[in-house]
Amino acid sequence: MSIKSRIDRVDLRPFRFWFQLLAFVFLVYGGHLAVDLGNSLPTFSCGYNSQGTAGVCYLLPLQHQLAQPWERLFSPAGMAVLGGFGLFILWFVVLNKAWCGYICPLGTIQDWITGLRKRIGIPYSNYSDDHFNKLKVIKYFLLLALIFIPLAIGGQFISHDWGVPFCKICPARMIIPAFNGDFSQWTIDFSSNTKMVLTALGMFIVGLFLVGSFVKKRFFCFFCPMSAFHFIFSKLSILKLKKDGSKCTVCGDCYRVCDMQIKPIADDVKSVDILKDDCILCLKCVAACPEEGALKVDVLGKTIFEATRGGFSKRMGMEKNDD
Amino acid sequence: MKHSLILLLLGLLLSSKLFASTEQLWFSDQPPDKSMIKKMRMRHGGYVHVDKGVDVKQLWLRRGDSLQKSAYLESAEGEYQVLNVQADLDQPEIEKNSKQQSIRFPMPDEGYYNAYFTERLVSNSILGVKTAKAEILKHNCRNGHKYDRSLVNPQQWNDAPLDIVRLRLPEEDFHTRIRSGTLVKFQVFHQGKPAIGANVKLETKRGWIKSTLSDEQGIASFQIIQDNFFDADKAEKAGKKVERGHGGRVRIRDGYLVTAQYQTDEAGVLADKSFSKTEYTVSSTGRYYPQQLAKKSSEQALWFASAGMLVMGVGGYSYRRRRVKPFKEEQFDEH
Repeated sequence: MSIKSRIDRVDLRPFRFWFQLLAFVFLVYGGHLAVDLGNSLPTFSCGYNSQGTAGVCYLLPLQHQLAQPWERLFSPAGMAVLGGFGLFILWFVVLNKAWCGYICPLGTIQDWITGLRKRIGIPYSNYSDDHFNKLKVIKYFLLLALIFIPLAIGGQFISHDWGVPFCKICPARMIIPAFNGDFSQWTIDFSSNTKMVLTALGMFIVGLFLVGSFVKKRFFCFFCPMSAFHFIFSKLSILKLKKDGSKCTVCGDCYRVCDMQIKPIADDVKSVDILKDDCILCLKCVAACPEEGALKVDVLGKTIFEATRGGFSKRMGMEKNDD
Repeated sequence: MKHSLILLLLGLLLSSKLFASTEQLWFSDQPPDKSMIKKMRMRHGGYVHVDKGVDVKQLWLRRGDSLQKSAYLESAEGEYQVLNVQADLDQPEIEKNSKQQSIRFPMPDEGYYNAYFTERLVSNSILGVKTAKAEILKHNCRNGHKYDRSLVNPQQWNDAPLDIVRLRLPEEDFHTRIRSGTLVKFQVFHQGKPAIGANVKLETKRGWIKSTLSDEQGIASFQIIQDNFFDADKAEKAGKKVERGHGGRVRIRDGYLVTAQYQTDEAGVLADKSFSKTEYTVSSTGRYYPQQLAKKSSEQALWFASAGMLVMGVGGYSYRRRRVKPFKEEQFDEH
């Protein structure tokens, strides 16, 4: 059996579980071993996890840099912003949105909470189509806010107390350092009204996150501005999720396994590049597809993993019965 | 009458001269002309100039006991030295375009730089050796945070007449701040050896003073006072003008001046003046901040998190309940 056939028949669930676990340990504890991947990672490797982090989520330095005084930001010194952005793109083009499905520590925590729910036997929740379409816009608003609020600070329209606004409300700031025993972010800052409101909102969102990800798979990813930021540049990536509509029977298996409830993955038989803005590139849809070559993952135009009947049969445990 | 007036004036002049000689000599990184700050960049170790991408520190010599009111010196006779990150001695450049006495030196590497100025004067048969010291951190977050931890350790100049070294806090890194309530330790060295029994005084910007003697290792400890930090909002409400920085930021911090005095029986002659004792003095400055948790509450935070959990729990449950379609039994008439 060729290597390609072996990959197509791989049991994705344990592979993903161990990959995510390793990525989590690397990003959350790697700093203790002096690992430093820089400040431009396209994933929630939280910079507030000061000693443990092996690299910092790009949204933190981006907000810092955009809050510089405008005369500095729009001068040659502002080139540093472009430098950081360039590094972010370099990291991003390699894995596309698989940063969310395989690397993101906050995403992994949500998958662990989902695993706990499954063990307890509580059924998960889904949004109605109407609510799905309304709620998915929130991440774009958050992305705009995390760009324009720091710019407004730089222009001296609003106070510096608004600094790094998204990080103040991001649950990763509280949850990821806690894995290193650091609960110092679990506080409300009363030093100004703005900080008080933002930190209180942040703690409220932690509460929403913990219960939300228990009842809804990848609850937070749906609102994540990093996901929106990824989608803007996803066309640049060398890793693509592709669909051959002529081979699709619209059976809906891909939709049923999708943690993000992306309906077009089943319904859309026209688009070739099927990556949607909410996609986390977990590839569960490819693994669940029974149609030969209907869904596939390409790197620089070369297919590395695709839906096959053999792979589907093996993963469903049908192969043994056939024997 | 005329003679007595001249004598009085002479007396005043002499006493002011004597007083001046007991005042501390120290380095400040605050420019006398505040408009200069606009051309400078703020780093973890205070304001710097940036010359061809390299941070350049400028320090001004000041004399006096008050961090707020001490005068900037227009001239000073003595020796300048800079101990760089590699513990090599460099000569700083003396700023010529400044009315006040100041030095500049580049800080290309991450870590601590130490600047010294030493003046020697004989007065009343006592040689006064006064050293102004500044310990400046060079750190830019852009360079990352996986630096060699030994760079955090203090440097010591063994040939310094009298040196004062702030000992590092447990787990200290480039971002660690001294806060109210922190026990800060200073070690005093006389020509590279611990100075036992040196008189060490710490005075904050707001005037809190504490003195102690160094122990057998030359160490003197101070617990930083819980200070009445400047409250910008309160001051503005009271009609006072507050200088706010970029984005309305007011840095809540205060400064201290720490001075060590050490006397020996060294005798000799300096500039044709003989002396029978030598009094060494060294002064250095530092900053301290409010306690990290002084304006933060973990209890309230847990209340907010619990509220979030409750809202999500109740909201999620009712959302699910609303979407459950009631069971409808369809009956077909098969007849």
